[in-house]
Amino acid sequence: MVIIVEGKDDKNFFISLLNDLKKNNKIIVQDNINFDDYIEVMGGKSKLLDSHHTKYKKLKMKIDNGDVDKALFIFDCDFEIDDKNCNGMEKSQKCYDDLIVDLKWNIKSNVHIFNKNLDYFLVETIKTKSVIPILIIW
Amino acid sequence: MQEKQEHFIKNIEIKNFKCFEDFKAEGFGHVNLIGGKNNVGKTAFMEALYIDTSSQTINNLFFSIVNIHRNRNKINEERPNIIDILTQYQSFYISGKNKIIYTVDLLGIEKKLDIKLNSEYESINFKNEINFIPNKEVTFIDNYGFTNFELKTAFEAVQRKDKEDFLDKKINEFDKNILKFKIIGGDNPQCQIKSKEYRDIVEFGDGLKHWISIICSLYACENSYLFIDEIENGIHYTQLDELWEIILEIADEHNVQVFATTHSKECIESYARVAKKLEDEEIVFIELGKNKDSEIKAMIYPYEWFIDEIEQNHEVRGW
Repeated sequence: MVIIVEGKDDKNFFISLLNDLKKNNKIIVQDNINFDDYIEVMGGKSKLLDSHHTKYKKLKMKIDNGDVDKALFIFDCDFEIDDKNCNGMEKSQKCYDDLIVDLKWNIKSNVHIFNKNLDYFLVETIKTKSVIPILIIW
Repeated sequence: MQEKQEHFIKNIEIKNFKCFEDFKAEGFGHVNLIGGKNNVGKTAFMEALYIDTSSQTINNLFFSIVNIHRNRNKINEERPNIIDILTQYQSFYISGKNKIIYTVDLLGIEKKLDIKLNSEYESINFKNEINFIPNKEVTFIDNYGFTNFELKTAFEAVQRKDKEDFLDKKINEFDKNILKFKIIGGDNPQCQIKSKEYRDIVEFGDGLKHWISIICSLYACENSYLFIDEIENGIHYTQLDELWEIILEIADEHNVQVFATTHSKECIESYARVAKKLEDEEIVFIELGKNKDSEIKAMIYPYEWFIDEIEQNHEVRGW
């Protein structure tokens, strides 16, 4: 599987999270699993939502050869009211839906769009001590 | 003079050859490093490329088939039966630079070979003598390393190009105690140490012979092809950057297309580091693996994708 994220900070956050969950036996993972291998950094939200981005050609090669069989997209919706095409929850979801149609992948795909952004999500999580939503989705 | 990269093989189709039932790969570069798990077919893939690129004539084709058999059986076999070697495959098809249709007919009273090489066709019943003619410009360094004769032959190319000083410099960089390399008394490879005394190459580690074999072969394969199985064999990881610099530079200078296999993460990272340092965007990484139907597949990473994979610490040694 592959988790597709916007930037390096997102990747580092998810790796820390996964390592922490592993350490606390919340998830069972083989010792030799390298979490890096499952995360693709796209280099920003606009690139993540661009089906022509060269990284999607690379991922298509991996899908066609049986290396990748599931995809999870995680990105920020940024601000709710904004005149940019893919900002806000509604527009972000629409851009993701369009991306999936354009990619024409024949694998199972899912998405988690952060309300506002990762920082906001972290603050909210600390406040509520809630369970991480990506795990519920996945 | 031959145009740069004109002869390079860009793609290959392999059917019914060793572990490959129906396989295609395209997009090869001037230097190609191949990774993959054990027994996925890395060496067999290079052998198919070697047969294809060697076979300018049917006699070259025979030699290449016998040679890959000999490479695999250096230790176990003293006098191989040539007919058994040539008839070990029922039939296969390889198409890259050449188009080979190789069929063994076992139904008649006697074994018979039907071979189509491009527009050339030959039917062979083994009653007549078979000529094996090597394509000397195409070289395969197997994981047992060169014989003394093979090393001597490759070293002759270094001598013809007056590159002995360069070779000695690179050997000295590999091991500061070694000053010179020579073939003495026929085909006896020897190295001169600091005391000026010459010692047989077998007295040194395997890595030294491998290092010398690769450098000499790069000169011997001008305008041709070099295949290296398990390239990191016997070479310390701190020497790998130097090895890749030598390969990328001489291969480019002498128009050699190189294919090499590895299991080593350090070797793959070194390849990426040196390609980036030399801004060599014509390198390629080939990852072999199997899909859910156990079919062998190749993922071809051009420079940009390969560097991205390494920088993201992704696994490229098979899936």
